[in-house]
Amino acid sequence: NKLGRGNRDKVQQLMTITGARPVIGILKERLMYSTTSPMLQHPYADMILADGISLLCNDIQVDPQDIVMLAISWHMKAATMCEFSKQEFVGGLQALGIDSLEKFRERIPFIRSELKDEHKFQEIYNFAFDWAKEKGQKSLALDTAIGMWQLLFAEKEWPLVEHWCQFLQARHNKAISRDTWSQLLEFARTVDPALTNYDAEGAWPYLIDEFVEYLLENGIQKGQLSDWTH
Amino acid sequence: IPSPSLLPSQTQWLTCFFPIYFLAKPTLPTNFEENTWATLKSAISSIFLKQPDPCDLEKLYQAVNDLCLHKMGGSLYRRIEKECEAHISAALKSLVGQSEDLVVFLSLVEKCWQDFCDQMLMIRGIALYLDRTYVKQAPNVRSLWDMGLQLFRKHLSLASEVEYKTVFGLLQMIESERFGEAVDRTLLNHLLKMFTALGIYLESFEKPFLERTSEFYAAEGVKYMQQSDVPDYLKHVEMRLHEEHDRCLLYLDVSTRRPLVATAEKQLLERHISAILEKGFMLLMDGNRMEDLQRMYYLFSRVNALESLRQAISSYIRKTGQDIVMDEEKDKDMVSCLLDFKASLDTIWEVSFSKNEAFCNTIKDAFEHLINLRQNRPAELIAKFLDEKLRAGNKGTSEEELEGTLDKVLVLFRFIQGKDVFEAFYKKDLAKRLLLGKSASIDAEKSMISKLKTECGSQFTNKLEGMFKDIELSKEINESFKQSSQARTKLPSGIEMSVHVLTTGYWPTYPPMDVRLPHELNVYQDIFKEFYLSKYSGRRLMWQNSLGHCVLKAEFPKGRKELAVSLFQTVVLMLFNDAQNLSFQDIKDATSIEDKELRRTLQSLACGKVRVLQKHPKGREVGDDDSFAFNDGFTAPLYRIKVNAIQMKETVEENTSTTERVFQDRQYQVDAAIVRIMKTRKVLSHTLLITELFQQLKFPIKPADLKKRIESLIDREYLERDKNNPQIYNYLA
Repeated sequence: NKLGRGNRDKVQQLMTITGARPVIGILKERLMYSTTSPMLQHPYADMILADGISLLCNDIQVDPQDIVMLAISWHMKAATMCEFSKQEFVGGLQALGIDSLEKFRERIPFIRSELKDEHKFQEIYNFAFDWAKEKGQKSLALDTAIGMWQLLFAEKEWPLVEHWCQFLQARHNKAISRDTWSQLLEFARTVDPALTNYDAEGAWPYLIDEFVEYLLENGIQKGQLSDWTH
Repeated sequence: IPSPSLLPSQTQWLTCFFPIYFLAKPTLPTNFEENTWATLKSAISSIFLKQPDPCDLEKLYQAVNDLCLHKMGGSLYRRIEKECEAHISAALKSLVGQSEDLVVFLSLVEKCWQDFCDQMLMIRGIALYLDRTYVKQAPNVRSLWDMGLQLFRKHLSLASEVEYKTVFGLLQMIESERFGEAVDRTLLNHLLKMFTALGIYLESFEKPFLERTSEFYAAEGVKYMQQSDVPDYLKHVEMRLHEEHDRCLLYLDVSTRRPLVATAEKQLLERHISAILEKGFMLLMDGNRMEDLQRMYYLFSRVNALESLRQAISSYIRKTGQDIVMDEEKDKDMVSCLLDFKASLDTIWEVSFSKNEAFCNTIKDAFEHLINLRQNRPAELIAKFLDEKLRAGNKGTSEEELEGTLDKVLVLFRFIQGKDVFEAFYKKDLAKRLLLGKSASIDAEKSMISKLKTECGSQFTNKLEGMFKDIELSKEINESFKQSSQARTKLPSGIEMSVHVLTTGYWPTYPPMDVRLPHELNVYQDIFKEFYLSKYSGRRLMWQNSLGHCVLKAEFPKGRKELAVSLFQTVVLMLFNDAQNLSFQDIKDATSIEDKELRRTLQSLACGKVRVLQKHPKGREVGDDDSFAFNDGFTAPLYRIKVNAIQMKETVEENTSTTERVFQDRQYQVDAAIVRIMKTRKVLSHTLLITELFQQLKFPIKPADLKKRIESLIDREYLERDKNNPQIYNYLA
């Protein structure tokens, strides 16, 4: 377990440094795998940890930092980043109708396409919060959150993502609440990047209000004051 | 055949005689008309030339009558007109090129006019019958008088130099009068009446007159604004307006008054409103110059400039008030300065601004603004000010005066947005007054509480009233304790104790301070505790040692004394019942009083004014290695002596912690309000929630801070955002 956790921390560290997203492991079940066999003797053998995930990625020919791994984790209803329990893994594969490595590979383009679906993207986005946060914590560490955002908003393009991350590091520097997390997607979806339809009297979390102020202060966006005060 | 001269003038009669006319038509002499006219013409000419006329008037009337009766009225009228015109034209022409001196010239014009009027009246008198018959019956024919006026008007305008010179002269005379010279007002009056009579007043006189007036006052306004200070300027304006008003009574036409005064007002006031305010308003306000301010108010109201004045008041209050409020060095006097300021404003408002409603609101708004310029501090200082007033030793103020002061302070209090800050500080001071028995008058205290209650509701004063209740209850408890069996049987003799039982929550929180009490006092405390708990089971008593105070009987070699001291001082002094000399460490060990507190206590006993202990070595500060001895040689003129504890005053920490507590409290209040609202509404939009919160919360708070509390409650799962509409919150039971 210690080793496992250590690895996990390392991966997380790596992720936060590179801004990349974690790697997912694999469980050897009745279908595929031999490399995981040592784990079967391990007291936590019903877990795929960092090493396993990296091997799995290799097998299905996916970069561990690819966002599709997040989508796969979502299908598996994985509770924690960099880990699949046996139950999650099996359940996920069943739901996806995968019973061989080939099928798994074939399924990847479909899973990738799901990210384009606005509704599914939102689910995956909200799933990412619980998945990425430290268990037992209510909020998401800022570095992790920023990494996740960069990944997610590379998929669903939002021109202000870099400013948002800079703003958080410069002004906030604290963990991110679930509410702020989910409202940011709402903000990215509904408020246009020039902020013309932003309503300062609205219910946006204060952090988003402050972000808008930051954008205006720094002359990044001009905004239209007349529109705010209606 | 009746001769025409015998005919009655009445028409009825005429009809009677008609048949006779037809029967025998009278024949007139062939030159009847010419001859009759010749008589009349010579008479008219004589009138104009002011010569005596040989013909008497009776004959002349007759001549007119005759001509009229023979239907020669029309031609008579034209002949008279022609005759008059020649004379009038000549008269007016004769004025051309007359005197260069305007006054002389005007007199000539007046004379000419006067003559004309007299002459026309005479002619009309002679030809009255013409006016009554021909003029009346013929359409579009002017009466003789009007015909004369028309002719005069015509020839006056033909002799344009005369008209021009007359108007110029009039304007010149009026201007001279404006410069303070005496002028012939009758002349002016007559000539202007002439213009009115001729119907050319408005066009020929009033128009140039108003233009001239405008120029005059435009120049004067600019000049005087530069030369004189504002009060003088306003006085001058007032005088000018008065003069112009009189001018209308004396010689101008009444209809000129309105445009004339308006012109003067415009040039003298309207154009200088902002300059007047800028240059003089502050001066007048600072100098409390009621009369000048009243004048300003009156004049400004005439030109609808009260709004500018109102704004000036607002910015004056803000600026002056800012100096009072923002200067930290003047904090001590802030409240009394503000009170004085408000009082002087109120007087000015009453006396000078005729209690204008809008001004009253402006004063209020400005005060509210400035008192909240600094957060919290003013609220705190108002509480302090009240403490000073309500504390004993405020001799020389009668009950009524005190009451009056309280009312005035309450006005300031009303403006404060952070009333909770006030409450916190007021409570702290009230606690000191009540516990140390320092209140000047319980009646005044209660009156203040009831004032606050009317102002802010019972919720606001709940705790304060609770404090009074505690004090009263404590008296009863002490009574019944004295009479209880426990007290009578178990108490050590020689000690009397009175206890205040304070309800936690009502009173400010005091940090608990440890002290090891002497045995006697401990026993006493225990017996009281036993008594109290037997009476009120289930309660918990905690002794607040830092608040206790005692009176000790001390036997000094040079006399018996009573010492009024704090509980800590008592504990230290009682050690010397059994010892002559103790080290700092000894005392510390024996009493367990916290280090800093003990040093302060020892300082007060050995280094202050009243030195019942002696410190070795001497010095102001208490060192670790110092030792203390009972002062054998202590003397004092009084029997009862108060040994002041050092720093009964509020420390900086105490102050900031009070403020912090208020802020912490506000967060809870916001949270509670949100939950309360959401609990009843279950589902509510963000905007409505914010609106309700602003209604419920009694202290200033930014919307951003409310958002933070809402988000914190979402985080703690009291609320959630609606899944379909993030602008709506759901209450989570």
